[in-house]
Amino acid sequence: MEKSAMDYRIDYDRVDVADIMNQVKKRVADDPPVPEAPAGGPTGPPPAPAARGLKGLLKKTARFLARPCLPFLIPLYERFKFRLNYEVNVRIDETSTRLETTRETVKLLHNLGHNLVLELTKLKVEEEALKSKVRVLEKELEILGKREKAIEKRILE
Amino acid sequence: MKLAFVVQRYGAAISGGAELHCRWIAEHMSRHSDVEVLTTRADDYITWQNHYRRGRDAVNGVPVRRFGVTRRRRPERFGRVQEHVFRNEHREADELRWLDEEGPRAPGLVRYIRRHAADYDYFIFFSYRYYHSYWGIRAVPEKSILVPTAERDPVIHLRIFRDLFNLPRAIVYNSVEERNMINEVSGNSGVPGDVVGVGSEVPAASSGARFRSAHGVEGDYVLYVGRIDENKGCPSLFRNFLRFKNETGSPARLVLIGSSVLPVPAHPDILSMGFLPEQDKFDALDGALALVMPSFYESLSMVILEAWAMGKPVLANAHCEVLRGQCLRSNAGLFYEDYGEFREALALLLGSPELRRALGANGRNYYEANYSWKRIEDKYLALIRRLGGE
Repeated sequence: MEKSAMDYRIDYDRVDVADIMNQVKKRVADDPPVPEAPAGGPTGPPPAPAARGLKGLLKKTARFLARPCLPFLIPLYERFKFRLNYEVNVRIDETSTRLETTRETVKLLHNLGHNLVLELTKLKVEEEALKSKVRVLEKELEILGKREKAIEKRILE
Repeated sequence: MKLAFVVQRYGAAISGGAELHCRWIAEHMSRHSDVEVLTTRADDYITWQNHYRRGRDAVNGVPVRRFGVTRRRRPERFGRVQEHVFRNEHREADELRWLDEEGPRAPGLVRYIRRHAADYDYFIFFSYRYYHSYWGIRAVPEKSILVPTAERDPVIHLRIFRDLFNLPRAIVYNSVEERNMINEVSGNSGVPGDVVGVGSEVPAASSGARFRSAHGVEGDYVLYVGRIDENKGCPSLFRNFLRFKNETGSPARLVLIGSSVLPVPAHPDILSMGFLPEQDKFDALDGALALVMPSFYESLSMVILEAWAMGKPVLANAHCEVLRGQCLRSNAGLFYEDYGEFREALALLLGSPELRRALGANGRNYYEANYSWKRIEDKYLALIRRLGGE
């Protein structure tokens, strides 16, 4: 590898890639790589997929048979296809908009439901707290009543 | 001056090429003008499913207005339509159906552009091939600037795009090759434009040693960064690299960073790290001997610019005109057309530290001269001033 680098004439202060590549090409031409087994494959763009086979043949035959009627059929077909495409696209757009609106509504309803449950839970907790408070006050009142009676009794004695 | 950046997806976590490109440009241009991003609610480029909230948002301080995608892409159906359009005789209506199926179908976005055209000075559209650019540019041709991010793939040859490239007020190309290709397919050389590209957010400090210790990588390695995919040329990279190792006995390793959509060969010297944070990526670049880019289709390759910003040489697929052109203009990278050239070029890079240093230094100079943020911002501002003066 070191030897390979030293074989090139390169001015390192003013490198000229075009000149280096010419030397590379010359060296490859003088000493071409040994062809590799099929697994290696060429260094080219990805190959096109294979022809369609039987389906393609049938299509071609059908086209051949229909050729006399094509001048009348093609414009009709094109107009029909265009109209159909247009209508389908309009419908898809409308449906997409409706779907989006419905999605937003469902989201809002979900949030509303969630908030209502939260508020109800808070109210329930508050109700329980108030009930406890009432019970405590009732007890206190009861004690005060007893105390009042006891004091009255003592005074009368 | 108020600018609207229109793009198919937008978000801090979206790392796709054109989307990231748009975000960086929008963030940098927001220092010079009032910027707003108009985009969809999509997050996933396969289905365009709505993910973000509708309405106004902000990403890194840039206001964003999101519009719903009314129809998710059905990949199987899109594949069938695409197959028909790419492989059979077809009409323009079929191409429009292909565009519809490709999406992201967001009529609300186009409606907004039409109704609020007067609120903005220019609409900068990213990625010519999507619904938002095709219909958006038609809504406001006199105020639109297109950043096509085009690659030499079959889409560029569709008839519907020939007119599109002639409609905008100006076009911002990523590379000279991209401009030539678009001029060639659409004959739009009369439309004003400039080759600008995009800068990069290179961290102040990065450490190859930190990457090695964090991920257990030992020895010399070359790096690939990007999606591990057939269109990116990864299968041929794996074949070439393993064959190179068999024939030369080189101890070098191949480190892969990026999410994988195809199986990576189970070989001890091919290390797949998966998707890594930005800092780890730059640490990996710092520790690499070179970056390898086997992609067939690129309109710029931001990762190559990042490698050059870090002073690293690259080895690129010469089948991609943009990569080849960038290597020749910068004098900062070698390229290959077949295995023989891959073997020679990689052996040369691995075996010559002086060459790596010289190519890396050229790369850094090229990056500074053409892709520093100041340069990019100046080019956008100059173009807008030129349009204003016309």
